[in-house]
Amino acid sequence: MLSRVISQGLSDIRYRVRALFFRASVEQDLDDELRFHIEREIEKYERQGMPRDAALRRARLEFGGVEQMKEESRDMRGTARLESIGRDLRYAMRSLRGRPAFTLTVIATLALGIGANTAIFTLVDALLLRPLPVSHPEQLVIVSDPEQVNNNNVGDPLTAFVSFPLYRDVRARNTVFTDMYANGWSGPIDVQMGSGSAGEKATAEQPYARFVTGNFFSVLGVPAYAGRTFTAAEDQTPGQDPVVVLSYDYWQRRFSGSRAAIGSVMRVNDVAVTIIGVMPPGFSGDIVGQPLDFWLPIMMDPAIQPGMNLLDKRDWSWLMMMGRLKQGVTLEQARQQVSAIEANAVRENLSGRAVSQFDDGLKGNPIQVVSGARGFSERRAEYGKALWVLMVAVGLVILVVCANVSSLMLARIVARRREMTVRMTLGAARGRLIQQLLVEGALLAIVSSVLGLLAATWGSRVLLTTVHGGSTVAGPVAINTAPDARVLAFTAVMTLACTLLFGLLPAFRATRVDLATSLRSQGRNLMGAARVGARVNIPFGRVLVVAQIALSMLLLIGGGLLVHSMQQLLHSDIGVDRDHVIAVRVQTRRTQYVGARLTQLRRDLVGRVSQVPGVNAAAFADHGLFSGGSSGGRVDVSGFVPQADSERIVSIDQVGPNFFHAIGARLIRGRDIESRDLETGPPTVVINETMAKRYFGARDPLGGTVMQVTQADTLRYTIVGVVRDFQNSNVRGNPFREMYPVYNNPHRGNSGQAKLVVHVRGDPSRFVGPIRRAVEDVDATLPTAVDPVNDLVRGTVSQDLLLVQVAMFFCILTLVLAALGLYGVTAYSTSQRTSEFGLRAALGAEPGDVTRMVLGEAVRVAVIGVVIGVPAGLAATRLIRAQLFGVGTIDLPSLSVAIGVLVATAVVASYLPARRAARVGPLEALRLE
Amino acid sequence: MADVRLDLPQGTLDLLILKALSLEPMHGWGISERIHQVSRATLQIPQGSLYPALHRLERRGWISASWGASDNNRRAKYYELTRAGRKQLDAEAQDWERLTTAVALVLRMS
Repeated sequence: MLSRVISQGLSDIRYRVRALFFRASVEQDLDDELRFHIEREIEKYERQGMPRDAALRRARLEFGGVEQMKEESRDMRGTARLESIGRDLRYAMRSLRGRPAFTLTVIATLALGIGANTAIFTLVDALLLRPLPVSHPEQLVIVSDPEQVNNNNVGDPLTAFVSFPLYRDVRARNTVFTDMYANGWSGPIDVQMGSGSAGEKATAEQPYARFVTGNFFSVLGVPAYAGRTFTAAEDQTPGQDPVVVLSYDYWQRRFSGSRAAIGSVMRVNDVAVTIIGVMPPGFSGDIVGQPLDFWLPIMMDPAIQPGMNLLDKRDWSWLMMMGRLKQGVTLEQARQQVSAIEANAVRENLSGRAVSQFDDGLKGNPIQVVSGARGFSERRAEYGKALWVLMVAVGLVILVVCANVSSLMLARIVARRREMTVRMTLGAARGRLIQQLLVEGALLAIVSSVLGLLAATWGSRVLLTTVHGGSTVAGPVAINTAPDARVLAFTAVMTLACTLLFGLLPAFRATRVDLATSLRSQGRNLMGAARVGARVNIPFGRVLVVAQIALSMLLLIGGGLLVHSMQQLLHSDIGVDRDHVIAVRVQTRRTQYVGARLTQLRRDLVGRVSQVPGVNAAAFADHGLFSGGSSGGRVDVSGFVPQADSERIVSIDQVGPNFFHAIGARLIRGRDIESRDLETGPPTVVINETMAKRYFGARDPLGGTVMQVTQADTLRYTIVGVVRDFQNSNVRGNPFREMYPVYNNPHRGNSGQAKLVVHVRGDPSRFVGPIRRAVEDVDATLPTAVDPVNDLVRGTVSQDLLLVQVAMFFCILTLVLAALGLYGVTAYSTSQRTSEFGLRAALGAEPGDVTRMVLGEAVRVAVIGVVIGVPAGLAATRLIRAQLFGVGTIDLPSLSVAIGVLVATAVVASYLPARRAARVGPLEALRLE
Repeated sequence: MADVRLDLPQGTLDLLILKALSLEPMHGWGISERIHQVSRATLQIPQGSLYPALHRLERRGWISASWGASDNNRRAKYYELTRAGRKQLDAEAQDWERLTTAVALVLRMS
């Protein structure tokens, strides 16, 4: 039975395929067959004695309608629908080629709309949806905070990111994972090629590296593209396995993809390491959204970051953890077991109050055990919200595009109304006409989506570089923007939806023709044609324009708000003289500049940079302004009794003499850190306003003491000044308790870098070159970044910049489309009313009256759109509230600008048709009839 | 022509065509003539339905078509029963027998 069904199905398909592709020969066969039949009939009747013509008539009569029978036979082939679509397709191509202006406009508009959607979706897909390119990503489980990938912390043990001993405990004790690895931030790294001398300048490029455990690649299940990955043996002894695995991109960039690179040696922070392998293209590790150049065995950390000994310290939290589930274990089971194991492992190594503190902390922030299928990502958290907002915005754009194309199609169909009427009068089914119009729409949509897809691959790449914008601090956003199956499916669905949206409405509209009226109206009279046109089509066209304007209004309100907020972000008072300060970061080679030599280098740099003409002041600091780093610690302040441990936490940046002068911050009380503080006497500290208020209240903080408690010792500082709060890492941040102790201990603080702040007179960008040369005078081999603070600030708000720039682009796009739509409708309705205007002119209307009338009508349409769009826009801005800075969601300045722009656009768009209408003379109108 | 013609009951055309073809391959006109003769001129196949029916049967794979020379040496399209068609014929013929017997029984009821 089954085999019969199958064989029947097969023969059916064979038959249909033949009927479809060899249509001509099948038709010929049918003709021949029928002719043969009729001839035999004729012969039969002739044999019965009929004369030839009577026999012929008889045969024909018997046979019935040949064409009808052919049609029935064709239906039997089951290809009628496909064939009619094929015919419609050919017809559509011919008719579209015949009207290139229309076709190009529609395709360009649609391609932009679809391209914009695909571009944004590509980013959404790559950053937010796509699983890691590893084997069975669904089995991966993250046992830390998936958003904290570049952090390290000294102090109480953390679980958002963990210490190496803690990782070892969890790995050894759990029973739910086949294995788990750890991955940690490398800190600044400099690289030299070859094993050459140490005097050689490191590459200007700062590579991105991670320290990973030896099982990193095997847990992820990704084999090397060339060479090999780490082995378990390279996970045993600290400092013993100087090897490195490169990413494909880095291998291409630095080694031009040469096989000889494998086995060769490069120097990482002055440690020679052998390149043992290259990972496949498209694999950039387990962190989504940031570039990665190479992986180092975690056992090499003591050699590459000397003096830190991160491997035995339980108070250094710096690793993220990922495990692969055993067969049959659920995420929930893993969560319960692993978080209990991890919490116990932490507790075992704490004592006294620390245990209860840790447990209190866990209540607020439980240990995160989450799916690792999409990997870790800091960028996901940063850009996710903005991307969804953009996705909604481009969704609106495509609606505007569809409305626009819809009205273009409608105008075109109106022009073909007579053809439709005639065909329907002759008996064409309405469904058949709708099919034809839809096929035309689909053809346009498909061509546009192919173009859109191409534009999108380019566009999403441009978007990414825009975001990066040359900032040296924010770090580039690196994601794979090659369209995958999901993106292609998205575009396909998009295309289909568009076709239905802009094709179906006009098609139904156009085929709903009242035959009698339509035919009657072809007999011309002065007002008749115009009235029919006006009644049947214009209200619908107007509805589309109103919709476009309302949607543009919505986007403009959102866009205006974002732009205004951006201006606030870029120019707000952050407590320092942001327009005249330059931040300098010098990467110091560890082996060369340690301890006292690093201190000396900082002093030399300040001394040399201060001599650059135009420089007011220069100072060094551990972190300085917007350098991306920060430190914190616990303090005890004289006269203050903390209620909870968290009240003791403050931000700490160790600074050199003249720091506050050099950043242009205002000291409210006391004095700046001075040179004498470096030499003798008790160490001094300046605290910020927030810290002063918190710990001293109404008491005078000057002369008070701050004790910083660390694992090793307790440092005692005397307060010499209070500085007004300023932002040093995040424009949006709320002020926190901060203290700035004098930097007088060469063995404390951030090693490997020397950071300077420089106050200049005039445009800071002019000083970038001179300051760089000054640094080179001190040591020409050190990689150096020199950035005006405002550029760094811009880097910290890059996701806002992305949002603003893209939103602006979409606003302008929809505005242009809405203007085109309004222009089209106005132009069409005025052209239909030529005779009316002629009549008015004949009756004595002034040209100005007609212009005003047409403009008035267009503005009325625009105002309706605005009236609908404003409340919708105000409601929608709630979506972007989180992105805003310094503006409310109802922001009158940007709102009035948006409305003004829209109404002005409406006037401009309808001015030309209005002018043309006014020029119509009575004679011209009569001539038309 | 004083034919006493009967309209074909729904669905029997396929059966008649299959039966006609079970004897030998034939062209369309031949099928129509054969049925007409064998039924002693009682059954006249509506010619407008013959060819759509042939195409339908071909699509289902019950008959296959090929071009050959007719008895007066002209090109004609010959239809031939396939194996699936033969099975179909058996099944349909049996159904038909059962149906007519049953109908006859009911009609003879007194």
